[in-house]
Amino acid sequence: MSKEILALLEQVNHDEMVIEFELQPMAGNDDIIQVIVKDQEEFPINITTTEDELICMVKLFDADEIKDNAKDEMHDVMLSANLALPLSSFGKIGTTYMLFGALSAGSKAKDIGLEIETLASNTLEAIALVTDYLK
Amino acid sequence: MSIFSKIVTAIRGGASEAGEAIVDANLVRIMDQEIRDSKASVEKARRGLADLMAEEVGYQRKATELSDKISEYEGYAVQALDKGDETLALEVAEKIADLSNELEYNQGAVTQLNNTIATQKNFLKTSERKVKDFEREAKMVKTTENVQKTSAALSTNFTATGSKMNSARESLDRIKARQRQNEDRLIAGEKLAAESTGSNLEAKLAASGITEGSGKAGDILAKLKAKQNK
Repeated sequence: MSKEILALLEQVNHDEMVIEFELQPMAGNDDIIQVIVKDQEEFPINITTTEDELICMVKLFDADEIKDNAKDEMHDVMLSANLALPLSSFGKIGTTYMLFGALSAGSKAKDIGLEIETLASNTLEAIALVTDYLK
Repeated sequence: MSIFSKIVTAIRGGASEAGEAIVDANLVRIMDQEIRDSKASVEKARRGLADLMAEEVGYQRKATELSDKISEYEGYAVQALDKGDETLALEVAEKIADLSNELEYNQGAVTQLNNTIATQKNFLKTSERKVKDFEREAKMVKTTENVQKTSAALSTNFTATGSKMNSARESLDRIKARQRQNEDRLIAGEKLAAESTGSNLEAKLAASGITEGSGKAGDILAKLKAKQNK
């Protein structure tokens, strides 16, 4: 499956992007392609597909990084900021907080490029937004 | 319980570990079966509807033919009466009565078929909606499981470089520092570039004699020679 995603991502024109990135299949997981963004390698964008969606996810932090008693207020801030973040939304799986964007699986390379670029910059914004609540 | 609430219940119940199924594998199979069945019934309903519509067109055509014929025979009856042939007129009237009965039957069939068609169309729409609902639900399960799997992979393989896991705050600080460094480097680079193009330009100006430079000595000599010649 990752081959299809990779083929799609390889069509993205790097010259049109303001960020530099490399693609690499995730070791040991055939369903995920990681986009490693230059200078923010700490937050790789993980791309996976379902039947008709392309889901791009960035792990932000784990629940145990949240300061004691700060969770409610942080959630409030996240929900309030959700709409203002272009193309991306906050999500949570298990104890992992993430930022994600979903595209139609039929998206053009240009749209995927925009999604990657936006998600990369939103990631830094998102963490800066909640950094007061993190240990 | 809807699939979505099943998913939510499973997630809240902590079914977020790797490999743990969000919904029963059996349920997924049942859903796939339901999708196939509903699709088949939609297909059947669509074919049935087409047959009904064709039938309705047939009855409608027959009805039109019959009312044309009735008008025609009504004309004949009037003509027979005009000629004073009461017997012929009665015979024509009987024919008209037969035709009218047949017309009524056909019109009745058209009305009935139209009702059936409307019901069938409704049924078809409902079935189609059901197929879409099933498909959406099946996708929901598959997407959740896929995302879950991805998330599990993320916690075991966080950094691409294989470096040790860092807190988000530390990572952000490091990225910010790196960005600042890059900006500084950029500014320094720009300064350097400005300086080098500046000196380059000066050299060119001097070479063309516009500014002071190698031409200066020649000028002085020329002036001195001019003085001497006076």
